[in-house]
Amino acid sequence: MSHAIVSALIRMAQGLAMSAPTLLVGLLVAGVFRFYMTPAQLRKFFGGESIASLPVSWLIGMLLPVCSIGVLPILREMHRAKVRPGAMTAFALSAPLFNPLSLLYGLTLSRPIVVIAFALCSLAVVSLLGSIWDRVASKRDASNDHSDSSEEVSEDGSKVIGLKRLLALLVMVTRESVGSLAGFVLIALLGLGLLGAFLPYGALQSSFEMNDIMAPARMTFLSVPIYATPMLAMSQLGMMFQHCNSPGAALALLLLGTGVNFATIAWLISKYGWKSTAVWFGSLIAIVLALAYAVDRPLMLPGSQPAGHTHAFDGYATPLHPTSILSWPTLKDTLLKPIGIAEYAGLLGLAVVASIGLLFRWLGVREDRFNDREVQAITAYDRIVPGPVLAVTVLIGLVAFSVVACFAYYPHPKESLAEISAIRGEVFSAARSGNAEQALHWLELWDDWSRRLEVATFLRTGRVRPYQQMQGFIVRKKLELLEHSLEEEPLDQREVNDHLMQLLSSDNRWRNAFRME
Amino acid sequence: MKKQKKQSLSMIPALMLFAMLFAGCSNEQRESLHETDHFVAEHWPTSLADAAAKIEARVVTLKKGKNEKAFDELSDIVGWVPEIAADSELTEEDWIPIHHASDALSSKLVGGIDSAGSEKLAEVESFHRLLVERVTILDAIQRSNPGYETTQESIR
Repeated sequence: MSHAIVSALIRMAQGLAMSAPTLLVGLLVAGVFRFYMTPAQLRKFFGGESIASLPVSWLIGMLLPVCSIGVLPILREMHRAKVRPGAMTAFALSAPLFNPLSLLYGLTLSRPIVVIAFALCSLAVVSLLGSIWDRVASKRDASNDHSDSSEEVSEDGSKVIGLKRLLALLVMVTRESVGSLAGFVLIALLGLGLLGAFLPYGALQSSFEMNDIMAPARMTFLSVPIYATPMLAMSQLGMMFQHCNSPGAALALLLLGTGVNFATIAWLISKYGWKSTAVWFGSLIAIVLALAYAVDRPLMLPGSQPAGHTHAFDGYATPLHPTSILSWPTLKDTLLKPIGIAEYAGLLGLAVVASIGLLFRWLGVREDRFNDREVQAITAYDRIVPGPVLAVTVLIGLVAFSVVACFAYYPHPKESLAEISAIRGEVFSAARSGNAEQALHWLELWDDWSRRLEVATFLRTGRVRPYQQMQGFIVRKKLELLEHSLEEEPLDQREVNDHLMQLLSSDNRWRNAFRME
Repeated sequence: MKKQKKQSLSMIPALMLFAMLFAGCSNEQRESLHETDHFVAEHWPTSLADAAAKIEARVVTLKKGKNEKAFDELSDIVGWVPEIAADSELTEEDWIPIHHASDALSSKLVGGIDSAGSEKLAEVESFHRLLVERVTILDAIQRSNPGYETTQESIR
């Protein structure tokens, strides 16, 4: 029992850390929508009442770097502005699926056509679901049924400008982070917690095999409680392709694992009621299932050899082995394993924002104290820049920042190769001396950098040659085999050395393939 | 009573979803994250020369008559050859024709055993000749680098 509770808490804490960076982005975008655009401008931004609103909302969603938790404050603003329900659902589902970092990653996977097909499938899903949702939700005026004074918004929007507008945005963002949003974040993380508590250790290793007819259905239902960031889902997709898992299951993971979580459903229920949400959810599951089975066979790689199991989904089962002792060092290691520098930075940022938010709530400081109804007097040389211009500038800035982040996260291939050389030295030294734990730590980094090298090459040259892709595939396969032999107890040093030898020759060919670029 | 029956009926879809979700998940706790080793098919070739030999053997079998197992294995091996070839000392220039030929042939073999007419078998034989050529190149590379094996052995 204690194992289950601790496992649930670990998974929820890891989920919070993963969501922190994109949650901050979501709060910022929500603030921009509130203070830089009038409701009419926001509706127009998302395509207005035309049929184009669905693909437009899908496209905006694809560009913004948010996850299925970070999208919640934005949805709230869209709902306040009475954006078309279909457009809202299109944005809600597409925004968490891809961001520039994850899209680049996806395009360098062994079959980029699969990721392009998945992106098109997501457009089909949001178009179909958006049309259904427009019919269902438009019949029900949510704001009438769920009267909430905080939802009432003037069509004129905020007239505050300049520094006061920035202050209002800051107050709104910080207060929101500890308001009802915090409850929805908890609901979202509850899904991960439940899976962590009840799915046995390593239970999903063979659940999504290529020829398993139930794999797409199983993944469809598993993905509902899952919360995954776009990058995590894309790396899991990469592992699924590497292990020749079911393409239909991979699609379901992308559409539902990243696109939806418990909080999405809870938020819809709170705004549209049980019945409408049941129609939305039922339609979504039916569309995803149909698409998953439609692509399952055509996207199978001819001649592929299923690996028989994968560790891609170990992160959704309980993180603690039943025999492990609940000691602080074990729990700390398990908890911190998937948390990197971006997550630490995000958590720190979120902690600061939430602390200020709590202070504002305690002091009774609200954003509307800055919201003057009259335009402030301006001097002769001042020019008022229209809010939408500033809003679009901020959004373009966010996308531009993502592009810059891509170049930083995927450095020049020469730098990646230098990094890999250093890591390789550590792996060989640790594995040869029988230090399995150290070797396993560096192996994980090697695998990560092998992907980054490919994305970095694609980013700068526009392509990754098939030979380079194949060499990367072989190196990662051998890294995994070495990983397996390092995890055996007792350690068979001769077997480890055999794997090291095989890895050495593949590694030379792989690095040469990229050096010749 | 009717209401109760209705309520219990409404639970069926929920139970079905639950069952579907967990049907494929192992209920047993695994001893290790890597307890299950990677599956390696029996007809997985150990080298490019082995791949060529295995393809030849299956072509001979298929020429004698329909043999589903031989056809399926042939399709698998044709798809695996680019990986086997890339994991050898062949250069990228020598590898590319194998990659293209394997892709083209794999897409033609998708139709199943019924599509394995004499024309397709002729294409498989042409693919086999390409592999034999590359095996000759590999032999030459290994002969010109006699220290290669020794270097590898020294790591053990």
